[in-house]
Amino acid sequence: MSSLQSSGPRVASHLRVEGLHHHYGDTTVLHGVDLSIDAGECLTLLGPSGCGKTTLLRSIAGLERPHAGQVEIAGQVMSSAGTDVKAVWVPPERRRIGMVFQEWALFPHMSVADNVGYGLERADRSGPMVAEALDLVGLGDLGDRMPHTLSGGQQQRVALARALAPRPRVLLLDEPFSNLDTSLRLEVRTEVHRLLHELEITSVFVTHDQEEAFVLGDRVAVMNDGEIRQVGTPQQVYHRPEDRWVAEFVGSVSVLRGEAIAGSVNTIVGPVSVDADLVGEVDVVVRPEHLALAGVGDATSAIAEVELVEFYGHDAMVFVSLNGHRLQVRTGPMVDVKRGDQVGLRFVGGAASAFPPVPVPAN
Amino acid sequence: MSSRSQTTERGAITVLRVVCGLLAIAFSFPAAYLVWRNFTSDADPLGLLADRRTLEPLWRTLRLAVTVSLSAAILGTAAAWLTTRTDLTGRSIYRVLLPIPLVFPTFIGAAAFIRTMNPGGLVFRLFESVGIELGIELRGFFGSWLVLTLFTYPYVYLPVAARLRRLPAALEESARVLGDTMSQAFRRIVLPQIATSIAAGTLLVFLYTISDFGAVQLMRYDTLTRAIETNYLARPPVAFALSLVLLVLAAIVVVGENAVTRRLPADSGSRSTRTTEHGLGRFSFVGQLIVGLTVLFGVVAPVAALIDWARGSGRPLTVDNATIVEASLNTLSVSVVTAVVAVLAVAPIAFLVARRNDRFGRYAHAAVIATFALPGILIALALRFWTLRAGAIGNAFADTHAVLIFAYVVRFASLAMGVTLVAVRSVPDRLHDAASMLGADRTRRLRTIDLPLMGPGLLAAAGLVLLSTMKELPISLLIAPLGFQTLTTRIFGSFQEAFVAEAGIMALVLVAMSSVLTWFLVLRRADHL
Repeated sequence: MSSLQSSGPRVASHLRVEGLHHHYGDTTVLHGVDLSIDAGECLTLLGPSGCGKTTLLRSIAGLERPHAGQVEIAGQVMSSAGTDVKAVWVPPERRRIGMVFQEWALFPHMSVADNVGYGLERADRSGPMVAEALDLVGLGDLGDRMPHTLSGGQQQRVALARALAPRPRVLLLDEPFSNLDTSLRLEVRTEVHRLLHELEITSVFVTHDQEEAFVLGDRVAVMNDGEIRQVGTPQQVYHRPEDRWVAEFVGSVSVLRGEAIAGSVNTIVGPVSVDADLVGEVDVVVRPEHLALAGVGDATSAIAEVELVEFYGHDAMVFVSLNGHRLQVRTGPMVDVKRGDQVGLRFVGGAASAFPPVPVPAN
Repeated sequence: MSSRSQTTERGAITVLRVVCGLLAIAFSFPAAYLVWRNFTSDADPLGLLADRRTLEPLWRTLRLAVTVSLSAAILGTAAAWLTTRTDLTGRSIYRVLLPIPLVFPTFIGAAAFIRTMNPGGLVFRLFESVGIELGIELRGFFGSWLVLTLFTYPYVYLPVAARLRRLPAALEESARVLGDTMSQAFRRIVLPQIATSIAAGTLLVFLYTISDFGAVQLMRYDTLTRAIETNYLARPPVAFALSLVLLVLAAIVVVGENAVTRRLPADSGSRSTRTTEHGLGRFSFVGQLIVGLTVLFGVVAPVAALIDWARGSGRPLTVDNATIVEASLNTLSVSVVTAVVAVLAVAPIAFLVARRNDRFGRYAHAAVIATFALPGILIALALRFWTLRAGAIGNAFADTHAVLIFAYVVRFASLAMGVTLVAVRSVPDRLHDAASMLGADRTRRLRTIDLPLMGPGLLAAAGLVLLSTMKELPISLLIAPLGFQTLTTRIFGSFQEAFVAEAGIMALVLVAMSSVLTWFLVLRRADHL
């Protein structure tokens, strides 16, 4: 546990975003975004590139000025704009928000310690607060180094220490791991995960990586085209997607079409129970782990042909073709099928999500 | 993109816009004045445009500029290829020596060449010692062509060498593996890659040649600039007509240069780590001849001539140290002031353009960049006549340092513009964002982020202006205050008088100062050109 927490006030604050609109010229990037993040909670903003998640984060920070809507931290209005509201604007430097940037944005002409001390009161800039912040990220002895002499992982940690040192009320992280290579990314991710929990700081973490969003977020907000499509715990978002786009964006899916009758859909892999009150033709969205391979002779299974096997070590993915449909099946690491094999296919999940059908693309 | 702090900064932006507007007017003034004089004079200057007195200098200017451009392009490209892509012996030494002619003002080069062939000169004495009376006088078209080629080819050599060094060896190797011979690969792969660099450098040489005054004056070759100088007191309308022709010619060249530069490939920033070195084999003799003669005539000969000249070479040695010191200090002080003023002038413009992409900033930027095409003699002419004609205001400014520095700034601020823009852009927005998020207000961001990061760039910009101002001749000659002598005017004057040894020493001082600055500003950064 860090000494930072004991030596000064670190008060987690509630963050609220209401009806946020933003546009660049004719391009609208935020269509009325509402979000509420509890004190001490980590919310991850997940979405494809260009969905507006970074703009939303920068609007919270005060680096973008929304055209309508309100941002509130701990009950104080930070910005407010719109036709019938009193305009309020607190500039970014007075919001007491910490931010870690995608490229880290370390000041290249300042030492690590000067970078970390930049946001502190003048008297504290060379004091113990800098050392504490560096200790927090495990870089206690690198204060005198220049940023460019550090490795990517170390630079990332300096950026985090710099953002945390002034004890911000809210911490914003904009894809902070995207410049790290894969193995390092996982290591740093776990460290940041632990740190965010220990400090119990309110944080918003922007990412386009679904795994990152699930691992770090107490809740995940899925964004597309400037709108929040779903907010929920990672489990809710993964298992109970609210619309078909979310279902397909978070994780792999196979889409099976069938007729819904009394909570069950008859599909090419047999009957699948669904949790939606739909009747008539529907698309059932099935995760790969909800399908299982079986012997060809098994009477309850459909017969499919194996097209590809991707072995990952801890598990494997088998791509099969069934009556012209391509389906993905997750299997254990002991997979023993190969291309061209005939396999049986069964639905083994509980209830799947179903959505009204969309027209099949012409290809 | 960022709409941050629009209201809080609106006032400051308005002030900047007004400043930029005034700067745009100031920078456009000399050229506008020349055009205006042509249309308002009662001596039918427009009729003079088709006159023999105008067309003959134009023809000579074009003839000289085309031949110099061609020879500089060939020489610069050949030298670049030989020193970057072959196993030429001594190429690393040549790489240091080849850019050196850049530090010679062309009139000093011309003076050195003329002097060395004249009675008493180094070459003359050499021939004399073996019993030959040297009768050649290096004058006119040939002399101008030779001197300008020898002192401008680095404008082609430097960018082409930089481009060649960055060209991945794999391109040529692919061509060879696909069946090209060495010369086919050069023609089909290398040449197209360096063509834009050659063109851009060659157009700079062209512009330099049509603007050059010192060399053609000493060589007595009547180009537009020399004709302007000879006519401006006796027949002002002729001088104005000539200046209009020169202005249009320069403008065409610069427009062409811009069009070519735009097509330069975006620099990937990656310098190819592996370079091909073609074996020259039996052609290495030819390579040595080309590069060796270039270095001999462009570097060794002028330096030797200057040293010989400075040593008095047979004449009674009457070196007046006070004169040398005074001229050096004058040059240094006026150049430093010009450099500082120029950077202060372009900084607000660079800021508006780079940070705000502001329309006023872009207008002012265009006005400054356009002055790149403005030969010094035209600025001098315009300001000389303006101070004579503008009544009380003109009288107040006539023969002052203020007008001289204004003229220098108009002439050379465009050199600082690009570097200053790069300096302003070198501070990424995200650093400002990061500083804001850490509680820094605008003043603190400027003090702790902008100035430290932009400092080296601004210094380089000032250095470029300083270097050019030190070497400037026509403006210094025409509008320096009475009795204010710079190194260039002293050297030029004494050349026409009697070759006093001081002039040789002053030329060496100027070349030495210019070399040091060039090394700091150009060669050390040659890879980034």
